[in-house]
Amino acid sequence: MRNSYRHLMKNLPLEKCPPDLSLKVIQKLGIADSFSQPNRAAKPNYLAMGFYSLTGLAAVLLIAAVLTYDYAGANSQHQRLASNAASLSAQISSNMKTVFISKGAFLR
Amino acid sequence: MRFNDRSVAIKILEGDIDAFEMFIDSFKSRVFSYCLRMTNDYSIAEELTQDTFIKAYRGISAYDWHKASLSTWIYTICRNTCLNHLRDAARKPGHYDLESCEKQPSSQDDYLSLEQRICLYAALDRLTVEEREIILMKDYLDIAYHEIGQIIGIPTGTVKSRIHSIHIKLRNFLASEEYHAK
Repeated sequence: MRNSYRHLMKNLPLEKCPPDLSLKVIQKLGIADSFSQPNRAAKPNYLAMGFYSLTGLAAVLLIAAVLTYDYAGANSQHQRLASNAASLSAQISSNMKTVFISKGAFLR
Repeated sequence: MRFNDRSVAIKILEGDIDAFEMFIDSFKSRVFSYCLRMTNDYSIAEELTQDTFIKAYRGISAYDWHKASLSTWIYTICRNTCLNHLRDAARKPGHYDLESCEKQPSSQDDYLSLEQRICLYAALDRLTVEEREIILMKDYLDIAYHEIGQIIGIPTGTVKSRIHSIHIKLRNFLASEEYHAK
């Protein structure tokens, strides 16, 4: 019978865990009931909602800027307005990604 | 690996019970095996395994993914849980619960005979608690040297030198066991 340490340790398998261990842990923690509510899966991600709202706003501003600029013609005041709207849209977009992704909005 | 650890930790922190169950399933076998080899008692090992995951859940907000992997973190909790139990129970080295060993459900891939397993368990039980924990982490759970160093709180070089001397000790124990078996 080979009883060298290397042989024995190499062939020693991991033990089979009691099958209901996860359930017992969850029951002891008392978290099973608090997660049986039907609307748990529908919990809103407010950060993501905020992100998409601002994305929509930036898109609307950009479209408005393009349309205003297109129809402004020689009116410099309208051109300035369109330019400002486009700048604001770009600024919102450039800041949003850093802020919202760092807050973990897209980890799910 | 670190991104997955972070993601899992955040999900557990947010109360994602499925993520927590998956976390338990990933580690329960190794944690239980370690607890069993440290205590030689099936029911105590089961209890200590449960305690490990309960502590992990309650302490998940303290887990820092920049400092250690999730596996290092859970093994640290497991090790401390076992040490606390052994300290409280004041178990003396050399005690071996043969009856508990024989009653254990056999593992799926049982390459060793019961005789060989008893031989190995007896040799492991002759080690001190500190020696047994380090050798189980390396040779049984195949944890990397630097990770063992993080778990126990000693330099990697010290881990290696301790394992080397423990190997010599175990070989001598097994040689004497074989001699006595004959």
